[in-house]
Amino acid sequence: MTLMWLLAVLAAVPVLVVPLTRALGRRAGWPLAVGFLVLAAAILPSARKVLDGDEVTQTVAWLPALDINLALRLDGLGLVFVMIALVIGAAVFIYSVEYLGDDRQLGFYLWMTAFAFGMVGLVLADDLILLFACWEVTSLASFLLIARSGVGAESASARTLFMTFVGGLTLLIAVVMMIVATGTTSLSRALVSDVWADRPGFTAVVAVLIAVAGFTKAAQFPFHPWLPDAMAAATPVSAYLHAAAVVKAGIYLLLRFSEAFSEVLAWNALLISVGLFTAAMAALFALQQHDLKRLMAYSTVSQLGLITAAIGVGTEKALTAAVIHTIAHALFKSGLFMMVGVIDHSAGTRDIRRLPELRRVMPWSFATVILGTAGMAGIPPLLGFVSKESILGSMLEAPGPAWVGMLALAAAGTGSVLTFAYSAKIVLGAFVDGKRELKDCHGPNARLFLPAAAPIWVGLPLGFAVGILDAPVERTVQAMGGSTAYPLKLWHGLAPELFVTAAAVAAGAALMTQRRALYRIVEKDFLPGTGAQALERIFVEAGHLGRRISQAVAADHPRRHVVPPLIVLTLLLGVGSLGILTFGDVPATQPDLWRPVDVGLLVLVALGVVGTCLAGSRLAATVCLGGVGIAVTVQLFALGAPDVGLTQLMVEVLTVLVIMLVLRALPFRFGHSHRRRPGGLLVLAGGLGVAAGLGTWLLTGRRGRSVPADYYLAEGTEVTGGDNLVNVILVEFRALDTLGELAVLGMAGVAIVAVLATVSSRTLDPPGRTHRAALRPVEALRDPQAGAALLDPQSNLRALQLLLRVVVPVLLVLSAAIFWRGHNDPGGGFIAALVASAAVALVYLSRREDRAVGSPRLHIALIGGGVLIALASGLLGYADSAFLQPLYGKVAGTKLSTSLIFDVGVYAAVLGLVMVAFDRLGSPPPDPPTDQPAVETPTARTKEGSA
Amino acid sequence: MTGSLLPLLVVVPLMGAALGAFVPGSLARVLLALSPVLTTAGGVALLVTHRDTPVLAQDVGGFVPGIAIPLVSDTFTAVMITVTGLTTTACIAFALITGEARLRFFPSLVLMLSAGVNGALLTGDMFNLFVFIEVMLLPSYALIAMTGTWRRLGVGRLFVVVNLVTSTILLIGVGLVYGVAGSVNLAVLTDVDAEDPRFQLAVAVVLLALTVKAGVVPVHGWLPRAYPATSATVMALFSALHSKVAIYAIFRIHQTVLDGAAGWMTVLLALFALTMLVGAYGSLGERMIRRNLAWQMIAGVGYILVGVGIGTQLGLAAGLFYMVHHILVMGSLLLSSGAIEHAYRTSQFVGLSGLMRREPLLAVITALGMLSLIGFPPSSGFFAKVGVARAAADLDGFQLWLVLGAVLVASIGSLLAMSRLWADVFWGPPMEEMPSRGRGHTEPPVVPPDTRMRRRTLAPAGALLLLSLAIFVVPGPLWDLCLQAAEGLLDVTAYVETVTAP
Amino acid sequence: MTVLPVTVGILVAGGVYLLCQPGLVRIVFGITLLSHGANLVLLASGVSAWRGEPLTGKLDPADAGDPLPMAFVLTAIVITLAVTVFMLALARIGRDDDTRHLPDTGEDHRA
Repeated sequence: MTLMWLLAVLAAVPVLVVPLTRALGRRAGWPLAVGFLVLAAAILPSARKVLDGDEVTQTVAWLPALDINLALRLDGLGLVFVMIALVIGAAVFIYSVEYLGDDRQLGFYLWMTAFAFGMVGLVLADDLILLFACWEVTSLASFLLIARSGVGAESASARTLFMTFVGGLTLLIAVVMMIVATGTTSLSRALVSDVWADRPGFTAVVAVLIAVAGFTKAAQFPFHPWLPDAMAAATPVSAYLHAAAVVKAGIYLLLRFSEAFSEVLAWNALLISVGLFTAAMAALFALQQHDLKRLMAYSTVSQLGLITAAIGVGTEKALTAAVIHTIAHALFKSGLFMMVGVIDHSAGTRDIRRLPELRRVMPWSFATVILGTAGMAGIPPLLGFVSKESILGSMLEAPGPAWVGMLALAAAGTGSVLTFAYSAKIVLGAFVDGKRELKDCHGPNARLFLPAAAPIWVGLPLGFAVGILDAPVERTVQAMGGSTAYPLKLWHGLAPELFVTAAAVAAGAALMTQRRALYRIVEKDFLPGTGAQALERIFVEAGHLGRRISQAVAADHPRRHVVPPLIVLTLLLGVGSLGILTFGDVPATQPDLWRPVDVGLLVLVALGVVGTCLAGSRLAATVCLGGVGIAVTVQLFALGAPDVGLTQLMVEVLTVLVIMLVLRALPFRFGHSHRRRPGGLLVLAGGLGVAAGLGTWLLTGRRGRSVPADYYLAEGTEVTGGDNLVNVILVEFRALDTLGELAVLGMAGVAIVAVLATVSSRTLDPPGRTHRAALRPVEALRDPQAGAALLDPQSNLRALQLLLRVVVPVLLVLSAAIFWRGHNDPGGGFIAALVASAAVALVYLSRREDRAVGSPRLHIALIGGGVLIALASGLLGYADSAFLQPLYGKVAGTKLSTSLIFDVGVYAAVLGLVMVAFDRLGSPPPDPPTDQPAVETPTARTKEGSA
Repeated sequence: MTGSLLPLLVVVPLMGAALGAFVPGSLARVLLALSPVLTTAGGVALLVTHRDTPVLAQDVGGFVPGIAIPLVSDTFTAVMITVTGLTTTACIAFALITGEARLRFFPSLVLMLSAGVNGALLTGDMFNLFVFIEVMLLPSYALIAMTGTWRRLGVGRLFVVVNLVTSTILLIGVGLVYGVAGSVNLAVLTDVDAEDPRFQLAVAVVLLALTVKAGVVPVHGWLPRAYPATSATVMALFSALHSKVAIYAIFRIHQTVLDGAAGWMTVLLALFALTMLVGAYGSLGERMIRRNLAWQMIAGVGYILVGVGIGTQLGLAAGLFYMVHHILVMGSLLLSSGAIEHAYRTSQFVGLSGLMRREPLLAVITALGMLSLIGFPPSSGFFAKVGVARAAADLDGFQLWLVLGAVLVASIGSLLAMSRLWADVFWGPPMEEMPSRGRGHTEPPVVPPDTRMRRRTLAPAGALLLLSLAIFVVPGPLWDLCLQAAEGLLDVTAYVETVTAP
Repeated sequence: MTVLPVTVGILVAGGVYLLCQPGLVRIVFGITLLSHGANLVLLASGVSAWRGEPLTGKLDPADAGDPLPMAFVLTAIVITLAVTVFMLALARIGRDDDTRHLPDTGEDHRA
């Protein structure tokens, strides 16, 4: 069976789990276990090849552009871990059937199988990115497995995810740097690249990143806390997690990369020191626990520490030892975990202090646990002894001067003492000590006991016949760049490690004879807090940071959000211009860019601006603004842009009218301005003013006439038959701009209707503030007659109404004329429409009651119709070749073009918007307050003001 | 597809908008549903065309090249039109399902928005870009102010003012560009010496305006305030359209006109890295689903623009890939949140709890969406993150560590933010047993115990999510498109030739 | 030496000052001033040395101003008009245009 198939099947299993669990409930464990064993058998052919010395590879392209492939490769190392993942997985599934509660257990089987998939994928991956992907999958799977074990486990699972995620990120960074440096995404080729020899600095960095990634999963200090946390998960989960999956993923990564890094000092130092420290520390923590499961957890951390240290040493002997111990640990630790479950089932607790002398009711379990813990403590003649021995021995080969090796050995020895102690604590605590009587305890049932015991018992024969592991282990070591494995023997002769073990056993035994005293000393917290608390602290701090970030912009008034861009703009334009003026060479300005009239207008504009800024009443400000508008208009005329000037003029009038309509609904005076930091504001305003001026001066008026300008002046009329170049640009050359612009204009009307339709303004009305404000003008009226006049709009409007009889027709004719002449003289659709709008405005103002001209439907129809007409005239262009291409024809001697139709659309849309504005903003405010005149009066004022 | 058809991508939605204004509501909604489908179809057609013709251009009105406004489409444009079209379709479907589309003029406004989007994506003229951005903004002003909670009205003011000021800055920038270079036609501007500091300054003003719209730190503040106040549908639309069109324009102008001014590389990278970080951690300060996501949008902007900062073909491609991924996933998450609000009337953490067991389907969709956002397999987010990291690895020295470090720290932030959201909303006790955590008026609306969300409200979010998953399984095609688009951005000769060809 | 930039500067400065005031009406005024400034920048970009009206046949093209920026400005003015009207409509909602005090909807969770 090819690797690709193996992986494909494993990927399919989680999908099958859904129907399986629906059909069989928790018994789905049986078929799954069988399936896993079948898979394990199915790769035996490949395994055979591997053992014969060659390796099995298979590649399918995944993301060719990045050279990312589904590249799989089975070598000795991979084989070991695949087998562990599958076989232990099978055992755990069988065990789970009996252990789990009698419901569907979908989540458990789903994530366990996904987990196995990720694990196998990880060890088979020969593509760096694929490796990373599978790494993430295992992180996710462990998170989900822990999270599903109840509300209590949720925060624990989050912490686990966080830790493993950090490791994933360092792995990602290492991987991408590796890909760039080695120029390949293939793991096997990257590992043998010359880069590692050529660039020691770079190599050290990558080595450390990989080491950190490995530590996070292999629960090495300071990333160990998540593993005891994970105890929240169900026992089978823990068994798999600890023996076969996540933590082994970390070990696998370290083993895999030792080929590249075993010579790198940073790598050796980091792994050895962290490994040994973790081993000792965790062993001590283990000794502190009374919950058997937690004890096991810490023991795992400790054992992994030893393996890590061995990998750090990196010699063939050390790597051999690491592999063997990985296998041994997988066997006895999975078994021990499941045995804890057995005990839990039988005695209803895992707490040593509450466990009776179980050996009476469950002798077999007793024997099994002794065997398992003996293996853990490295007692002959078990496999654990062999592996532990060789690890201890390999310590002496640590790089550097001899004393380093001795030191390492001593540290490892200390670890072993504690290891013996906690192993003994398990046995004694669970089976020997204890006063509680046994009545409510029952022996284990076989289906629970056998799968638990099996892995442990396997360790016994393997101890004697350890030689059969030589072949696979040798391949494994070769897979890691070694030439040959260190021969495994139960009896190594009187090597130093043997004495260390003997000493450790003796010391441990001695300790345990005094265990009451010992427990009293160790069973208290040495540290202020747990790792979990430390992590929670980090989360909280991150939360505070986040709150600071979001609060920094937590304001709804525009000022807070408008200021930053303005500041950036000031710096950009100001500093930029100054820089260029001082350092760059700037072309000279064109001669006579200015005329005297500009100066006069400048003064007017300045006065108007100052007035607008300082005016306290909205009315006064409006008047000043109008003044500025007029001055700018004149400036536009002075610059030779009559159309723009006219448009500006009409727009000015309209804006003022609309402002008036709105003002009457608003308080008479402005609210108080922000006086908190007026200085800052003035600086900003001044600064941006200067910057804008500088920028304009620097970036304009320093070149000859532009190419488009020349073209328009030379060809414009030629092409379009219109003399008014601005107008022909608007309706022909750049009709697309105009199209967008009239869409904006028209839809503004629609938008107003749409928004006002959804608003009932009372909800927005901060109570008690507006009335007072609105009343003020009436209070202001000393003369009762004036008041009466104001309050009776009817009499105010007579004159205007008479006037209109004449004015409105005139305006309409004028509008038509302007529209017609637009093509050749200043004018055109916009200006014409704006003139007509003036008529509309006057009619509106002349009415006693606020009623706009025409029905709402008409307004919207005008708008929509206008846009449609413009679009239609554009589509006519397709009749020739292109959208918006004008078609020309002679009517009554004058050359006309379809752009005239376009202009009609413009006309309609503008008129529509204006009508909507008067209709919606002109009608009295929704649900007016109780005191009518307060609102009525400003209305009257407004009408005077604008009429 | 031929160049002369390009204008239709603008005309059709705009016509729909105009008609939608006065035809009966039901008919308007038909138009509404139809238009984005057509847009997407057009986008796909363009993608097919660009396999052998790199660039399509059309001089609107058939006037002389360089004078007329060109509508241009290359692979980049086509990808954007397709993806935005898809997402718009999903959002509109959601609006139709939840009945939000029944709001008066909603169809008309949304149609105009998408017309503006297509125009802004297609135009090859800076001033015309300004116009189309206005075409996008005006309906947005209305949309943000007419849907969502009451706060929207105040926030509507904020949104309008900020965007209006930004547009004015853009206008000034365009003016300065014309003042220096004597043209606003992108293709023509490629002839201008990109090293001329005066030209750079003028273009920089334009880019500044665009970064404000995109929400780049330090001018990001308005976005996470304004967007969440409107409805989920509109927010999803905005996140897919407004921010992304601005980013598109930044890519386009920076590459085409400044041909990726390398001088400012470190500054840009620093800014975008900062954007990632601020966005990723800003989420942690929020207690509402969509505010949380709004900050993640900003983080996404950072990831995308880092591609521009790196400036290599790989970098640009990675940025584009991330953009596509981000549009889809953000859309999915926002629409899921919209479904939550539709059923439970709140998106505040205080009002929600234990949704995982209560709404399994929602939980699956949201969880996968979050995983995708963080960059876990199996989702488009995985390759998006890998792509950015891979492209960043080509940098060296300070820049390398700046970007990779930012990716690392920012990812952690996103993870924390998402797990916080997940823990508060999806874990925890069932809502009925939930202790009232509300303070005063923040007391969430009480939901009747039998409240469940209607499955079809989840369909749009689910559809977008499936796309993200599909991209993980088959990343090749999209990635190739992104590379092709990046190539077009780096080597503009084809673009220029096609646009200026008589 | 030229004058337009100064005018632009003053308009922009005034606009910024008003933008940062509370009250949407003042903000609208500010934006109006700002866009006056922008329009003048656009016209200045057409080089204010040539000021003849770009009407073919009216005078010699040698002196005629650049019509393109004029078209730009015209478009810009109209767009500003549209948005201004819309903003005024927003300002009118609720009979007070204060931008600082928004209706409290309990969505703010200020720590």
